[in-house]
Amino acid sequence: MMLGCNNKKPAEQEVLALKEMNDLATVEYVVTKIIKTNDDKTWYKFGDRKILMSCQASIKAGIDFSLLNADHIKISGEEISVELPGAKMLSINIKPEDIRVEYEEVGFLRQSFLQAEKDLLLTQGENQIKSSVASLGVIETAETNAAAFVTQFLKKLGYKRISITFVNDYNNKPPKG
Amino acid sequence: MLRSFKSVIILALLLAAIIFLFRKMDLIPSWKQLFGSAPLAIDQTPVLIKEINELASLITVTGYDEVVVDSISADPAQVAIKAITGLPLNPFSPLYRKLVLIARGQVICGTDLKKMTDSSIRVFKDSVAVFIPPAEILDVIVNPSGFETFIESGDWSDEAVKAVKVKARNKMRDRAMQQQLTAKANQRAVMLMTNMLQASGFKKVSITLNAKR
Repeated sequence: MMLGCNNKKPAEQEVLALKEMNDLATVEYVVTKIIKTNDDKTWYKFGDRKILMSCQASIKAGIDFSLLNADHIKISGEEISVELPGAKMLSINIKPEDIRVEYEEVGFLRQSFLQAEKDLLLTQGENQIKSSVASLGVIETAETNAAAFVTQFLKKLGYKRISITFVNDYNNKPPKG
Repeated sequence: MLRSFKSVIILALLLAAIIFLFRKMDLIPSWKQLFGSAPLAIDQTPVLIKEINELASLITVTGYDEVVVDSISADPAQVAIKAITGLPLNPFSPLYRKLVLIARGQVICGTDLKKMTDSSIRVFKDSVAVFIPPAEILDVIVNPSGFETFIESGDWSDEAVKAVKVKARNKMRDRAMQQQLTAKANQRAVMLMTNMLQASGFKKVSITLNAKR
């Protein structure tokens, strides 16, 4: 009985892992992508299979505030200058509701695409979206929005002259003194 | 006779040596490559921007979770047979469709600072009082790469699979709610805002959570 009571798992352990964050998400890009493939490369399989899916993804980007410390903030009367770390992609979210199979054609001697195969194709699409983040201008927009938000926030705190700069090599570069 | 047999043996050994050498040099495919399925690969297609939204979300806690969801349903043909013949459905029949998915994802909690208004910040000399909105679950993310199909038997429509995947996401959200992730996110938001305002030159900082509307 005692052992039974002691073995009861605390609720905390049910979640796989918890991570404390300090990110400020400043932009969300909603993007669409067509995912298509033609499965006709295996020589001994007669007939081919084709699938065309469309998906929508939400990409969020922003800055990591945990890197910011007092050394990155210089105050002189009503003037304040803040060095912020460069923006980065924070998350990509492809909801199941935003995935649609637009067209599927399966040869007479072939088997339909399994769910695992569709997920494999969608994973490739997810990776292509991730690698296109830089070319979409997500990072630049995230930095622009972050600067606008921090400026507005500091104005409300009473600062008249505000300077915001972004440092990409934040951890290696010493804050300006 | 013996000479020709010797020649055949030598020729066969020579051929085997050549095949072995070519395989080592990767000039000819292996048996596995020859009879294995070609990997499924998608074509390169452009990513199109649909909309851009401005955010100000302070992400304070992320929970990484793993859940198992399943769905079982009878094959419509078997149901029709039962209706006609009156025979009971056999639960062990392979005519039952079954889908078991393992979903790995993350629950992102934080504070939506866009909900702050002009009256949310009050400054008096070196003191500041800030009223922040309560933390909420900002996103529950289970991407296609986070799904693993454990069992898939029978034909599953895309709508039915979608419903199982949404069930996994809702389960993850419920678990996060049970474990009061938002309460932890609130504690961290207060701590982070206090630190940031102190670094901005304020001696006395008061952070208050707005009551949930």
